[in-house]
Parts: sequence; structure tokens; C-alpha cells
Amino acid sequence: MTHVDLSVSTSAIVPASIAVPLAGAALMAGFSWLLPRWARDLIAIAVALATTTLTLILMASSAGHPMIYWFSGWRPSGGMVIGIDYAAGPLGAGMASLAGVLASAALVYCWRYFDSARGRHHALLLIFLAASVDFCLTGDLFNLFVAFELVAVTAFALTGYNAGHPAPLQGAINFAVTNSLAGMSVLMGVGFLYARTGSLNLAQIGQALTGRHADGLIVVAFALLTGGFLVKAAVVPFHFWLPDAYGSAPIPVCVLFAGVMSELGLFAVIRVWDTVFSGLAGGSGPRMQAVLLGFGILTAVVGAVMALAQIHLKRMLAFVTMSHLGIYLIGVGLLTPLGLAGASLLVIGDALAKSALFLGVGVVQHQRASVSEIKLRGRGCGLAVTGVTIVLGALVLADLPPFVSSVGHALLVDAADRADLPWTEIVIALSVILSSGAVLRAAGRIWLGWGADERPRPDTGTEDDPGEEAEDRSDTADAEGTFGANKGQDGPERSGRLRRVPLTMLLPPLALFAIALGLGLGLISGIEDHAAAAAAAFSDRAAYAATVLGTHGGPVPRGGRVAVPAAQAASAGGVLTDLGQVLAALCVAGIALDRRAGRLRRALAAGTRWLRRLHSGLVGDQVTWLAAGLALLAALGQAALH
Amino acid sequence: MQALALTDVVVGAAVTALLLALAVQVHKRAGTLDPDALRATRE
Repeated sequence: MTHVDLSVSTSAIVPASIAVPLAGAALMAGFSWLLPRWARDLIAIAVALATTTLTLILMASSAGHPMIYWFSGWRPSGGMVIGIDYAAGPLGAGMASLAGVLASAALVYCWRYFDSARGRHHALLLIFLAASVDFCLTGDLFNLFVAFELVAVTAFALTGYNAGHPAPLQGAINFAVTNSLAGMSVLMGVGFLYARTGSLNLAQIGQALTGRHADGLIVVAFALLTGGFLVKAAVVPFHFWLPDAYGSAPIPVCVLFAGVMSELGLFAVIRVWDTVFSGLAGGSGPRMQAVLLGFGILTAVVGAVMALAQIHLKRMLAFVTMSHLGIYLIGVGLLTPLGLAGASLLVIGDALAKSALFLGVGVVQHQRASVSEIKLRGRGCGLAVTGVTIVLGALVLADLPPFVSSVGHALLVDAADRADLPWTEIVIALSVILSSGAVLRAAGRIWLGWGADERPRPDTGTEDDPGEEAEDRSDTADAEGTFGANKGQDGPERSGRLRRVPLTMLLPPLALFAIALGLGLGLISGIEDHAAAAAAAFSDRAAYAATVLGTHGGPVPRGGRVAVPAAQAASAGGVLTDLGQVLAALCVAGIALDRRAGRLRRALAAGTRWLRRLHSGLVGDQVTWLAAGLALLAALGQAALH
Repeated sequence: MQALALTDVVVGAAVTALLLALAVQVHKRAGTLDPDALRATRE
């Protein structure tokens, strides 16, 4: 009886965690002109924090078994779904609370970053948050599509927030065209599955497909759905929009993009796989594992190589994000609960670090009016805290213990070992080292003035020359975009330099590091066990369906939970590996800055030029790649599911 | 099924409106609507 009372009282939290940010957004959009500036900021931050709290409560209270909420109480009758549900599990709720934390940090950061039209910006940010939470919690395929589109629409608008300048405008267009095509693809996939099963509920579709052989329609539906979500996740070859969007969006928006949006795509892929397609007859698991691992490895490596080739800091971080996303895809693609658990912890730890990095780059842009590594060489003095932020961010991305990402990395390595795929660790380590090395190289150049001065000689054929002109144009446009908003407020400060960096821009990244450190040091005791249990519950298709459809009377026995042996997260070997990665990243940065290694750098630049050429930034090319990727996925899906 | 179609019409309208706004903005700034002529994000 007490159990029932508890579930009734907490089930109201599920819709509340979406309604609160939506109501906040409506308030911002409708009434912000009535409110003074500080009130707008405070209300937006309070709403984001409230959403975070709600989703955290949700995460804690759904740890035992998923919490199902039926809209208007339209419960399934006799195993037949007639309503729309939210199915909140700890993994989805954790993802949602991560979105809440990052949105709060971004809003605090906005306090002094933008100075005009903040009502609209805050409203968009809060809708983005609401849509992300909706995306994480929904148990309905069509609702998943609506949330996908809502995330996308607000993201387009936020990317093009400084649409008066060419780079943000074009970034927004590339982003909008590719992602609306992805939306179409998802919608068609939803339609095909509806045609075949007559249901939109994930659990019910999964039940209808259980034990069936995959026919052409199901394979195409799989390719369309997965492909659409992989566009959002920016997996090679669907990733071409990502550097354009991240490189031109305002910094607080980049925080949400890098920390949440890409991961949402991946979350949807695995959600749909686990609940819908994994039950198909024919034991497609191992072949699907190979497909997902292939995409993951490709993305991790391409992202890391491209990150190393960038001098535009935001584009560099965009590729770092992409590389890490490939790593999560490797973890998720193992299709074991342990791999999913490791990837989840990595997502949390890396999201905090990546956000801190973007916020740090934002401070540099704000103070020095440039995001070009070459132009900023040696101009870091006076920004010591930001320098520490960026170096620490890069090291945390390289899984520096005891931050939480090192715990996730240990789980992931363990999962790879158990799946008899230990060589994937090498790919993971390599891409982590290269991408962190790129960030460290930039930090060394900016704060220590290391490396050759490459500014005045445009024709020496160094690795960054081909794109330099374009990079310059886009970053000045960026800087002006930010300061254009400042005009009315800081007329005399038109050069964009506040005398001191405001605390609201310095503290959020440090707070994010504190969270990552706290989680790593055991703020939540046994976090790896919690993650493993959550991942096991997430991957257990039968238990999920039974809970949603109510075919069992009481709480569902948690079959998967027992099957997950706790990982040795803090083993000495794991710590040594992580430290080795950190050292190797430092070495990469050192080699990249060493004047004697110019020949090596030129050789590498020539070797990767074809890859850079592919990133043409033209929307037509991006759409072509998208179509080709979908065709590839359909072919692979046919091979894997049949 | 009607509910789905209606919802998608609403979603589609929002996306299209935004794309149109971006296209208008591009035409205003760059004087062209040829996507291949836009080079601001070239690698």
C-alpha cells in the first residue's frame, strides 16, 4: 500500500519536469518586456534549476523500476495501448538532469554575455531544455519524433541567433536543412513501423515485432529511424553540419549542443534498438554490434584527426565533441549493459568538461575578440583562470582521474574486455589522446606563447593555411555578433573588453568541474554500480514492455540487474591507463608545438588534406552525404537484421 | 492517425517558417539564394 502511495505522489513529477521549463519559456516569451533584466535572468535560472531538481528526483525514484505516466490516465487495457506515456528510467532521467545542469550553467554565463533581447534567447533555451527532457522520458515513438523536431527547431533558431552575420547564418542553414531532412527520415520510419504494427508505443511495437523475421519494410524503417537519429548525433557520414553549427552558434548554446544534443541522438538510437528492434528473430545482436562499432570507430578517429587540424577554437571543440561521441557509440554499440553504463558515465563526465571548455573559449572570445589559435598566440596573459579551465578541461577529457570520466572509461574498458573486443580500447585511447592533444596545443600556444609564430606568412604551406582566410572571416563575424548585442550597453567598450572578466563567466566552468570531481570522488557512492543497474534496466526489453503494458501485476522483477557484475572502477591498471592517456595527450600537444617537428606536421597536414576538403561547408554536399549514409545504413541493416 | 497528421503539419509549419526566415535573411545579407555561393563556413 505504501508503495502505491509513493508511486502516485512521485508520478506527478514526470509531467512536471517538462511542464515547468515550458511554462517558464512561455513566461519569458510573453512577459519578458514587463520584467527588468535581472528578474528575467533570475527566473530563467530558477526554472532551469527547478527542472534539474525534478529530473534528479525522478532519477532517484525510478532507480528500482521505470516510472510510467499515462497522459490523462489513459492506461493500456488488456495489454493494448490506447494512450501516450512517459516511461522514465534512471538513464533517461539522468540524461535529462544533465541537460538541466548545463542549461543552468549556460544561463548563469549569459548574465553578462548577451545584453539585449534576452527574453527570446532565454525562452528558446528553456524550450530546448523542455524538449530534451521530453525526448529522454517519452515512451512513444511519435512523441519521440515531436521532441526530436522541437529540439531541432529551437537549436536552429539558437544557432542563427546572430543571424546578422554570415557564419552563424550559414551554420544555421546547414544545420536546419540537414536536420529537417533527418526529421523527415525519422517521421517516415515512424510511419512504416505504424503501418506494420499498428502502434506508436515503443513497448507495444517491440512486442509486435518480437520473434518476427525482419522484412524489407522493417529494415527500411530501421535505417530511416537510426539514420535520422545518427544525423542528430553527428556520426560519420552524417556529421558535416556539426562543425558549421557549433563553430558559429553563441557560446552558451554550444554548451547545450555539445553536452546534450549529440548525446540525445545516440540515446534515441539505443532506446529504439533496445525496445523495438532487438527482439527480431535471427539473433541480429552480434552483426548489429559490428555495424554500430564500425560507425563509432570511424567517428572517433575522423573527429580526432579533424580536431587536430583546426585553428578555429570552436570548430576544434566541435570535432572534439564528435570524436567523443564516436567513443560513446563504441560503448553503446557493444550492446551490453556494462558498455552502456560506461558510455553513460563518460557522457556525464565529458559533457561537464566540454561545457567548461566552451565556456572558457567564450571568455577568450569575449576578452580578445578572436577564436583563432594562431591570432591569439601569446595573448593569454590576464586570463589565467580561463587558461587553467581549458587545460583542466582537456585533461578531464583525457580521463584524468579522479574525475567521473575516468570511472566511465574504466567501465568501458571492462565492457570491451568482456565482449572480447579489447582492441577497441586502442581506438578509444588514440582518439582521446589526439583530441585532447589538440586542445592542449591551443592552450600552450595561447597562454605560453609556444610554437612558431605563423601569423604573417600566409603562403608557407603549414597545415592550417587552406582554411585560414575563411576561418578568420567567420571568427571575426562571431566576435562581432557577440558584441553587436553589447552595443547599447557598453558603448565605450566597443572593442569588446570588459575591464575584468565577470565572475558569472568564470564560475560556471569551475562549478562544472566541481560536479565532475565530486561524482568521481564518490558524491554518489557506488556510482558505477548505479550506472550498471540503470543500464541493465534500460536494456531489458521484456521487463520494459511488461512495466509499460502492465502485463505484470506489481513491480517487475529486475532480471538484468543481477546479471551485471560490478566493475573494478578504481583499479590501479585503470588509473595507470588514464594517466598514460593524459601524458600522451600532453606529448601530442608538445610535438604539435615543437618548432623542429615542422616537417612531420606538414606531412600529416598533406595526408589529411583530402579529409579536410570533404568538409566543404556546402549544404548540397552535406545532403548528398546524408543520402549516401542512409543508403549505406539500409544495406548494413539488411545484412544485420536478416 | 488524424492526430498524427495534424501534429506533423504543426511541426512542419514551424520548421518551414524557420527555414524561410533563414533564407530571407541570407538573401538580404548575401544577395543570393544559391547555396554553393555561400562560403562563410568553408573548411
